[in-house]
Amino acid sequence: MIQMRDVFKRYFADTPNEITVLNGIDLSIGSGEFVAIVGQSGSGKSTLMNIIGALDQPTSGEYELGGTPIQELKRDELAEIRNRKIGFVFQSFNLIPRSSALKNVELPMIYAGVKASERARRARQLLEMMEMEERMNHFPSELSGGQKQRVAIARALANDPDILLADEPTGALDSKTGNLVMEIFLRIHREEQKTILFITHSTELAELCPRVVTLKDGQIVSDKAGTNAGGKLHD
Amino acid sequence: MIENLLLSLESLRANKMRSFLTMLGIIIGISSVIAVIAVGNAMTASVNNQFAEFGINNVSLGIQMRADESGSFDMAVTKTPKDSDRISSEQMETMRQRFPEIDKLSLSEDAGRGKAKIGRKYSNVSISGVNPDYAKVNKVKMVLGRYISDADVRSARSVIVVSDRTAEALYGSNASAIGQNISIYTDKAIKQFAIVGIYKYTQSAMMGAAVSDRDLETSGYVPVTSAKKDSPYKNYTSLTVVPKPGTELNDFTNRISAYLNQLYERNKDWEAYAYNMKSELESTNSMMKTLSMAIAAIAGIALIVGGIGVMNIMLVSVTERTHEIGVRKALGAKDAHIRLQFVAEAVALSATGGVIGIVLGVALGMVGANIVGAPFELSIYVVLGTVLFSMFIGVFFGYYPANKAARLNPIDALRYE
Repeated sequence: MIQMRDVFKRYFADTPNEITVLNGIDLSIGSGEFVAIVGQSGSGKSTLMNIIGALDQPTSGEYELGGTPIQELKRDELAEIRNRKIGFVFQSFNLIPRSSALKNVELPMIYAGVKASERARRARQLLEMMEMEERMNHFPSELSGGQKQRVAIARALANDPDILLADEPTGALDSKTGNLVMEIFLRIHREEQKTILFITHSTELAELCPRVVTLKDGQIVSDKAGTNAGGKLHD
Repeated sequence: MIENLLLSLESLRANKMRSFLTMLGIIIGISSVIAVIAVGNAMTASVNNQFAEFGINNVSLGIQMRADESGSFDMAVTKTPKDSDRISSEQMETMRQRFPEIDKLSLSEDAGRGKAKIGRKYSNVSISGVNPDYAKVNKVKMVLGRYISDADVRSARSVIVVSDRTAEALYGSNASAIGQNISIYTDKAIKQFAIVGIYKYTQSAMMGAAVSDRDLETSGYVPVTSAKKDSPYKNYTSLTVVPKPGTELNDFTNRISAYLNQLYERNKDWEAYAYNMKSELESTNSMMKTLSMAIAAIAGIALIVGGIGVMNIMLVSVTERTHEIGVRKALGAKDAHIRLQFVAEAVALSATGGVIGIVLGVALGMVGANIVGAPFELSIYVVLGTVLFSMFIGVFFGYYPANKAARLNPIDALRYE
């Protein structure tokens, strides 16, 4: 599914202020894997995630997503990849403030050109799956953090993408709510066989994942199975 | 598309005050354009009405003092034309034969003004000596009885046609006025006439309602020959002719002027003139049009300033919502989606302003037309054109900010706080 070879990301390249954020990443993730990406702040986790999500481009190196070399695509083709193949979940939820939960979930489908009736049906179904059916018409400001993140997950799933990219989805939540969100990801992985990349600070959550990749200073320093994979969260 | 429009309306509602202030520029621009056009139309209509009242197909003929070699008049001496200098009935008859295209020939001779009195009841009358064609040329509308006839003129009968106002004031009703003898007290004499007809008085558009109803002076028409009885002159200084429909007016005027001046070739002091109002009407109309256009152009500048206001606020909006644009791009919005969203917002802003501006402009135009005293008229094309133009302003001034938003790099936009 994801093939990265010798990927570098530098800012201010060829100037005295040059910063290397990704320093030769080789990473291969197969279809249906659940991978936790851990590392300290500034280790390059988010940059890696943004490149995988076709939001950002590597300075050098190769990256293929589902067999497609991403560097060669045009802006609109990248937009289409983000729309159809990838679902983003952010730490700060990033819901559109003036749109209801339902409209937020419909948004990726609007960009995909799905018919209005089909859009509404699918958005409702997804929100029901997230146990949010009673708050469909609420605006983001009327929802709690956990509820917002559930709407965001529903939105990420709207166009049935192959990959879910979650950048510290539990980071802004208390541990109890964070665990609930984690359970949702585990359930999606189990039931829908989606490829999931999950950035987290919490070693406890990371160890629940089948595979844990650790970054340090823009390099992968460890890539092994989670010690508590398939285990249970304690409340 | 519809989604985008709904979204843009939502964001306008979210920033009510700001949207309103931005729209204000458009509202002022559009309403002033509409009001200027409407008032301009009303003024043109009002001027046309005044000309029509005078008769735009009428050709005025007459005599005037001959200018000296340098083209100026000797202002120190005012001369009165002798009877031989004036146009005689015979000359008119010959002219009529020479110009078969003359349809009507109207004569009018001022015969003084006075008060018609019965006991304490009175009515102000200005006496005009006329011929039968006068009624047709000046569109006198009869309500009862008959107008001055050829026979009246031939025999110089002492008959009069008075206005319904006079009939009302003196006799209470039109019907009881017919056949009565009326005495009009002028400063020189008391003139007596038999009332043979009543015409409907219509207020001239040129006169306001300056005098009170009671003191209103209306015309009393008598045969031109009767009016001449007290005058030392039996010939005329002016007359009005109307050519048959289809006659080229300016050409006709020139020919008849040439003909008359031939008669005055040997007269050292007097010459003939002939003119019509058509060219004056045309030049007045074109002047009004130029004036309207000039004011509309100034109003158009207000509209452009309004458009720049829209552009300014859209740029602010794009900056404010950079993060949101990043989120939308992360969810798969293409450049075109973002561009359309912001253009739609700018169009919604300026079109809403446009509609409010039209309502305001129509209201102002109505007030203006009322002041000018002409009916309010506004073609649907002006309204449609203005709506389209305001939408065009939205597209034109919204495109640059929208494109700026669309071209944002997804990750940069997403990181923007």
